[in-house]
Amino acid sequence: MRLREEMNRLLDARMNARQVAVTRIGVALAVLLGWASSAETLPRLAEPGVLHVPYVGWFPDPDAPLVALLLGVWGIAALLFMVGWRTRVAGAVLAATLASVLFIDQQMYNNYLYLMVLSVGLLTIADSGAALSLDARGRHRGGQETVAAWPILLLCVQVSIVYGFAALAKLNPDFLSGSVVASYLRRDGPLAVPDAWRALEPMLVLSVLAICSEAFLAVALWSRRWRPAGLVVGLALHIGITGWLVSTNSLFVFSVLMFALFIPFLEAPMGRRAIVWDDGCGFCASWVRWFRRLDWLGALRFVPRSALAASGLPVSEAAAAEALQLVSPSGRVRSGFAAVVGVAELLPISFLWAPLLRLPPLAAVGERVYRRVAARRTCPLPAMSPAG
Amino acid sequence: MPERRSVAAAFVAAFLVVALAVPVIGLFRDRPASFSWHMYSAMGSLPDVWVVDHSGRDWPVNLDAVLASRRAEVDYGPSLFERLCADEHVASVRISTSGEEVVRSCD
Repeated sequence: MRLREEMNRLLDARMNARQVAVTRIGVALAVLLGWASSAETLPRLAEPGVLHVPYVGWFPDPDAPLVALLLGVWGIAALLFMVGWRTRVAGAVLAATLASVLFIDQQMYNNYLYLMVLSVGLLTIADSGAALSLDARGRHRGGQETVAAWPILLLCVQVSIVYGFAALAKLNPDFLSGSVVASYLRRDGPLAVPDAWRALEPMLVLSVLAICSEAFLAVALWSRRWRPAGLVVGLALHIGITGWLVSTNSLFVFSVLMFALFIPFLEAPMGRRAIVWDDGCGFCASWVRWFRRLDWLGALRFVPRSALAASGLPVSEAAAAEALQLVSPSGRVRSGFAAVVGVAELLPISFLWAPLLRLPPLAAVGERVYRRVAARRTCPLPAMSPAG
Repeated sequence: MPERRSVAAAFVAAFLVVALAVPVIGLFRDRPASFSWHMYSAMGSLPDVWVVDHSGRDWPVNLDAVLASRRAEVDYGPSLFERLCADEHVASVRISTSGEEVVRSCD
């Protein structure tokens, strides 16, 4: 009975349609990057004399026309999925094409390709074209505000499964000896790791660090408290593996895909966080203009100081005149630099690294710079009277 | 509507079972295994392969010329035997993977 109630609650839940749409665009970008990578490897299957290792005998042999068809449909469907034109059809075709590439031959297996099939499939079920899409423009300006949350919840579970099992699989003597990491570190290019550094101790530390990072990510992204740290760890992990491990192209595509899949973890219901700003100040107005442009998730509600009294927000006019104020749905108010960091944590271009700005030295320096800039700002617009 | 709800509930349950069961099974297979998220968890070595002609002489096979992609998850053995034995000059195929050697006659 309780399970049924929980299932009903899960199936009824809704989430910010723009958050799902931004995830769709990020995943589509990764799929296009994956296309560029596979455009080199997939045609090799059709070359004469190249070995085929099929999963099942009845699957069609990958000849040149089939490979060209798969690559063509992959590229076009990914573009349509990204811009959101007939998103559900484009998504279904894209997921089917990616699955065909994945299963056409065992040699085409790639972890990011498998994850793309699952991600595109779930985003298609989630109606990810309901906002920020050509479909949404066609229906009514701005699109829907919410979509069903359950497919996105499954996507989040899948992200945890990827990191969790990646960590578990590394709990083996070979990996723990450090020899696996040592063998995969780059040997050429500007980021090559010299042989002298491939000693036992540093490799052991790197191995343990990799396992801990992946295990932490599998759990931390679900916790409001640990999520900011999780995002920074995720950013560091993916920069690290893309920069210093071999098979850079695949790892770059995988990293872009994972960054896109971090977006659904953000707590960003539509317009639930209020930004209170001083509309008597042109300098503040230009900042707010940028915040508006970059608020692709639509998570922010902009309240000028002149409309503060009617908003019912727990912010005084004096505080709004002094510094930017960010009010969370629970009523918690962050002011000045902390408010800027709070906004940056909700913007798709900065949410991965913005939590770093909370760290003590950076937060203190940021607050000092913010106060100094705020004190020297020029406000060409007429200032508000105390009565508003 | 209730039917649609039941389909969604069944999909959620099936997805979770498959998403968890496949990598759990993968933990008990050789690493790295496909569909199990074994990224960089083991040194995946490719086999060394030789064909043996009817006079008993060994010829190493250049896998770069034969494989579409070098994936440590793939068991190339059966397909390689079939492909290499298709050549009438080949009497047997010898495959060595991580010190383990398998010789199969083409007869």
